Amino acid sequence: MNHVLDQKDFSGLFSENLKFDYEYDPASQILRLDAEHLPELFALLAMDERLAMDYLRDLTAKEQPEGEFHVVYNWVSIEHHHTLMVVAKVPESMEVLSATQYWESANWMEREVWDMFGIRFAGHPDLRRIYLEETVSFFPLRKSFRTLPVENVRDLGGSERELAKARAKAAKAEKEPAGDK
Amino acid sequence: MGLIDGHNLDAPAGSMPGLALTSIDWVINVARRNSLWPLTMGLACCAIEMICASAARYDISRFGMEVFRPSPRQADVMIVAGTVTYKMAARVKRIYEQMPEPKYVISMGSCSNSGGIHADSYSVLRGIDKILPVDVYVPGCPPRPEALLHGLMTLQKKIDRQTLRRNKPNYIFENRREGEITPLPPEAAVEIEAARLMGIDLS
Amino acid sequence: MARRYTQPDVMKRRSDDLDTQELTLNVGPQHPSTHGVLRLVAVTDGEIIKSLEPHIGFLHRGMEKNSEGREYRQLIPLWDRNDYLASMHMDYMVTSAVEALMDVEVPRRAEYIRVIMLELQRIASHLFWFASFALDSGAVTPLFYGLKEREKIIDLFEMASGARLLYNYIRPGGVRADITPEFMEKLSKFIREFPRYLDECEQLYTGNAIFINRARDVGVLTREAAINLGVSGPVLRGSGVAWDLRKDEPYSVYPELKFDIPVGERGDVLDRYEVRFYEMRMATEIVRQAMEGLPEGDFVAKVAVSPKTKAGEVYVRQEAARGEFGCYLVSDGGRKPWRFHVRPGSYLNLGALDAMCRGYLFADLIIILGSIDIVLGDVDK
Repeated sequence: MNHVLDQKDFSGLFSENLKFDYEYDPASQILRLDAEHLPELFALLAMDERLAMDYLRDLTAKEQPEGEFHVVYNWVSIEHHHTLMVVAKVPESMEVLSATQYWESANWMEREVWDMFGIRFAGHPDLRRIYLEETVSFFPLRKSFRTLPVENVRDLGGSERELAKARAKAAKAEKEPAGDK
Repeated sequence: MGLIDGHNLDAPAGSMPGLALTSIDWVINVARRNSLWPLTMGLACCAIEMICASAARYDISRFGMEVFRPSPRQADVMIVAGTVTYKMAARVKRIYEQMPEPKYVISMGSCSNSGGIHADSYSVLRGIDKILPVDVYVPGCPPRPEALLHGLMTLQKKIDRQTLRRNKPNYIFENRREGEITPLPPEAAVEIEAARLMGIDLS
Repeated sequence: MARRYTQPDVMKRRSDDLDTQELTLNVGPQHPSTHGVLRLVAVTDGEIIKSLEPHIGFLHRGMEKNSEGREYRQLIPLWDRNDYLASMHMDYMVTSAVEALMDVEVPRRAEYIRVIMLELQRIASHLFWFASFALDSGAVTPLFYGLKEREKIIDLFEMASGARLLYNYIRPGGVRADITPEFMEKLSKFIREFPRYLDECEQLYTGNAIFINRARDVGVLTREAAINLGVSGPVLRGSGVAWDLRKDEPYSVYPELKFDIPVGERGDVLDRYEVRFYEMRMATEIVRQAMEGLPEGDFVAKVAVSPKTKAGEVYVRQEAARGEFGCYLVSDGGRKPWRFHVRPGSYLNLGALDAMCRGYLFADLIIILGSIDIVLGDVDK
């Protein structure tokens, strides 16, 4: 769901200009596509006078339960008063096109996504980690990252109770084979 | 402080001057504790309450502590106000080392006491006392300005008890006795290892 | 490439024919004028800044990761600590994201109380900005003026929520506690007196010739650059873009209230200063209207202690004191978020600092930084 300002239907415009598979829902203003088609989309959003998405308000990523990554863009057109959310599926190579060539605001947001998710942006002028040190070897917001592998540092994903349960289970599993002997 | 022969220091001019006897520790401690100059180490939310403590309503200058110094070389007490991340912890430690002796540390707020609400984070140091010796802990998230003032007064009491005599337990330069280094708590090893994984050298 | 912008050619105007060596200067991370833990590395040619790079992450607490292990109601006190000078706005951000994925009708009284709190928070935040900005530009007295008046708002918040700085007041379904008649009495006194106080501040500071000379035509951000760099809030409006989410993408009961949006002309430090002052006046006006229109009724709807949301994704946004706060929430239908992302206003505003500083004197850096009004907790998350 997306808070929509001026309810506009871009279905015709997209079907006319986007020559690849995509899903578009005018009610929620969400466009879903594969990330390799982003170059055509960026050009359309930035250059088309009817869209004129001049303000990239947010860029982030998310990991799906099945392990694939999505990059999520939120555009608004200050000129025409409409919004669009784009969810782009990241390919196996973990590299998508940078939006910095059209929107300068993507610069820091893409660095953040690289820092947190390890998704590379092709054509980014300065892709370095922004929050963490350059030597860090993990990407914190990936679901596979649970905690620093140091004893006593609390698990990030679960509550205390879940942790205690897991520990009890592990202790039991250790004991049982010993009992069999 | 005492009087001799019933004369005191306020005796009128021309009469016999009074004498006062006291220990040199007392004189030095009065001078030290009433003009503690804090180092601004505002890191997060608690810094706002620290600024409020120095502003019009709470007026930290009533206790002689209003001279917030940005430079560690002119400061007596470091108020660590806010969340200390591993990335900042290395800087905090370095700034602490630049302060002249005798120096004190006030840990303000839950985050700098123990990690607080962010204790389960991958990038937050769980308590500044893992890397520095802390004199006063001020609890709260964030502590009210009154709580900070109370913490500073507690520090004053601690300073009052200190002595220049080398063999006494409350020796002023406790942190820097010859051949002794203040031992870090056992949990420090965990934090240093975690910081190493974040690319920071805290040892 | 049609949309690339150009900055005014101040470099040419200021530089002379002297041969100077390039110098790299470091500010921070422990520095009184960086508003927390920010490190700036400036490359200067003589005294003129050629480029500037902010290094951030000294307060990165991994809040987004921590959110994934917490229930929705536990998120509110956690994100309170993100932008600690506008804690109510953070409350509202989390709440509105959760409510968007829930079937709950917020009572009208609760919405009005929220608007009162949000606007009071805007005033409190701008007052703190006034105090620290004046300090950045070399004046000490306004620090005490600003914080003295801010304490009055803090008292009001303390009456309502029990806390001075981090409130945890707005929650899914409404607000935590109803406001009392004593609160209303104190609030109406504050609203009556506050415009007079603002006049006093303006007499004290706005007309000051030294300040005007330091602030006018310094740190100019053009309209095109502002939009392209994604800045928001008073920085965007200072650059002449009439874009305020309370008007342009209305939420809560803002459509029922009458107020104006201030817009700057030159996009310099002085414009941002004036925009914020006008916003404080407008916020006072909004609070007055909301007080008059405050309906009777419930202050909170029935919501479970640990609410569940529908599966789905939502992006909500609001106009906070420091610009647009967006919140992208992905839920798998449970009690905890699958992904919780916040678009902080200060983060992108700070990203525009390089464009604002290029070509100006190094001495202007601090006043330009002050005019953006960043909170490092918000930048670093």
